[in-house]
Amino acid sequence: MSESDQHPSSGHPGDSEAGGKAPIPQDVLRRERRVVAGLLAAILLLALGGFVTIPTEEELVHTATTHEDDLTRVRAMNAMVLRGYWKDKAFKDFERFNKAGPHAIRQFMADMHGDMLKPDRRAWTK
Amino acid sequence: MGGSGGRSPAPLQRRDLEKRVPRPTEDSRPLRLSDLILPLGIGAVVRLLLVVSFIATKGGGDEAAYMRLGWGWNQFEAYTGMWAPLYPKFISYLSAAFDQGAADALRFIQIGFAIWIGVWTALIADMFGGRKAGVIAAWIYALYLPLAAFAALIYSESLFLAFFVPALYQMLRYAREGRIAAPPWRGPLAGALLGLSILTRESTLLVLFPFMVWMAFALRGHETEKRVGNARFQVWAHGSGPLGIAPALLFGLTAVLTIMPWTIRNAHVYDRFVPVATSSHGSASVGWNAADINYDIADLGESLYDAPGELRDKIRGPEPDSWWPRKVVNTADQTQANVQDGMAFAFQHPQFFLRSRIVEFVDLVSPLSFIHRSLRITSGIGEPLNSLYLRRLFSILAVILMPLVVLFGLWGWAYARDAGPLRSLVTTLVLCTSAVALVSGLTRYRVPVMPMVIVLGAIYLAKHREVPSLRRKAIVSTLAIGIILAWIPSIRPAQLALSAIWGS
Repeated sequence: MSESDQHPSSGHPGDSEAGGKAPIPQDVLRRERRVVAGLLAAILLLALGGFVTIPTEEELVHTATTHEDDLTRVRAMNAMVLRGYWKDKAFKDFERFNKAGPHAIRQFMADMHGDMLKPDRRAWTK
Repeated sequence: MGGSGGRSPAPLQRRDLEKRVPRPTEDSRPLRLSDLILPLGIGAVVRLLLVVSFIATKGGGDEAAYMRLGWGWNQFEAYTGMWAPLYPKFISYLSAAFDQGAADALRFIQIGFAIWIGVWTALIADMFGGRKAGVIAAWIYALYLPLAAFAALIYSESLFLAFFVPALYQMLRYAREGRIAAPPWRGPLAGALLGLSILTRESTLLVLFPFMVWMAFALRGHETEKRVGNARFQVWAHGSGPLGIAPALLFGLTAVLTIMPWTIRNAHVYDRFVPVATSSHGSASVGWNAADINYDIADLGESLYDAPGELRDKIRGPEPDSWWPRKVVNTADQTQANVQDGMAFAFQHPQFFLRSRIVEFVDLVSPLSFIHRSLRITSGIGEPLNSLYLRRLFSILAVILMPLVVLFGLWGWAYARDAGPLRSLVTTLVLCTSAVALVSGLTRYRVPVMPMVIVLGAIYLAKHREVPSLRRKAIVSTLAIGIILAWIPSIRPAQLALSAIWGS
């Protein structure tokens, strides 16, 4: 196909056969709709699955206390810290919990949330 | 969803459309990767020299925080940070592989990212301005020092652009090919890349919906209308057909799906809806507040809360009392509280707020860039940048290049021929980027726009021009005057910054 076929002399769409207002083929439209529906379904399913599995504070405490995998306990502790669970607790409660935990949690708190280990930290109100 | 119900001929088959690969300049051969070897090779050398200078330096502030977050993520499999996750995650992999050498490994890998970004920048310029524009874009990108510097710095910009620029390419290519000729993966790929960009830089979330609207307009109308002549390159020129809602959804929903797993992780951690990260609490408390804090030049003022420059003080006027962030329990709620308090502050002091937005804009377009800050505050910078002569040359070139590239970009925006989709996409991007920066303006926040500014400048320099409409001329003249005026208050901070670098 030559360049002149691509560029009608007038430059206005619709002046040539190739420039007519032909509809988009149905198979293209169907394909687009199918993929959009699939994406929406995936998003909704993920959102639903994510929403119903959000752990409560009690579940986080339980996981951080009893789970056999230390790093899973660390992740639960991290969520407790970021949710502000400890901000409502007395420092000594936090200290007791921290000391009773595995080495990984103590190390994690020291390395990543070190300011919480100080009793004079402003966040401790009790 | 898309358009149907045309009057005339039977639908074109994809094979017919694929035969038509309209080239912007008919006499030029397509850009080949081999055309980019020299410019991007030189660009890689420039970045290598920067990386070598910064090797083994201990970045302060955010750089150290990124490294610590990555290290912690590797060590404890838990992310403790407030920023978007991909850059710290990437560092965590490097931390596992290189331990103490992770920061230097990252810097070297960022040279690779830079070459990758340069290729896509050149391809966009080639798409609209032909091979010559592509090569010129590669040269400008290679030598544009403010962007080159990010290879040596531990900030998320390099990784971000490695996703973002290809995303822009795919969007523009999709708009160009149209819905029939484009492969089915084009829109979703653009969306996935944008999703990854958002996961690297939280503020990019702001462009998602405007980009979807752009796509609906860019793929508007009946297919055959758009594929004929130059008209198909002018974004609204293909007329009054229905909006391309389905392509916009394909793109946008894929981006959402890409972000979604991390949003769910956030819901599990914070028990709140946090799409990407919680970093905006800092921007709100700094930007929508009374003190004049700007991290580009903070160390040059009398205090962190009073950036230097008499003119900026005059523009801002008298400062009202500052507000302090409320103490809230949940980290995610801090963002909401700070944004609310920042907005309340803006409504209480509308005049000061508007005046201080002018200064945020001044900061956004300042001729300084983040490398000037790093050159001042990073100790232990080695060869070759430890040479005073080279440091002077580098810092002055970085200051000169920024206005030059921006002005050529502006002219490119007005004069680029058959570049409707590019023009409208860049306009959308600039508006979104300005909206982010007007919360708190930093030179770093203009980074998403700069590759596209380079593309427009390259198209202009390649003389792929048309006579712009009066309206376009008026817009570009107003913008140029506004930006030049906005450079004036930055003169004093720039003088201070350069003397600090030259004297150190």
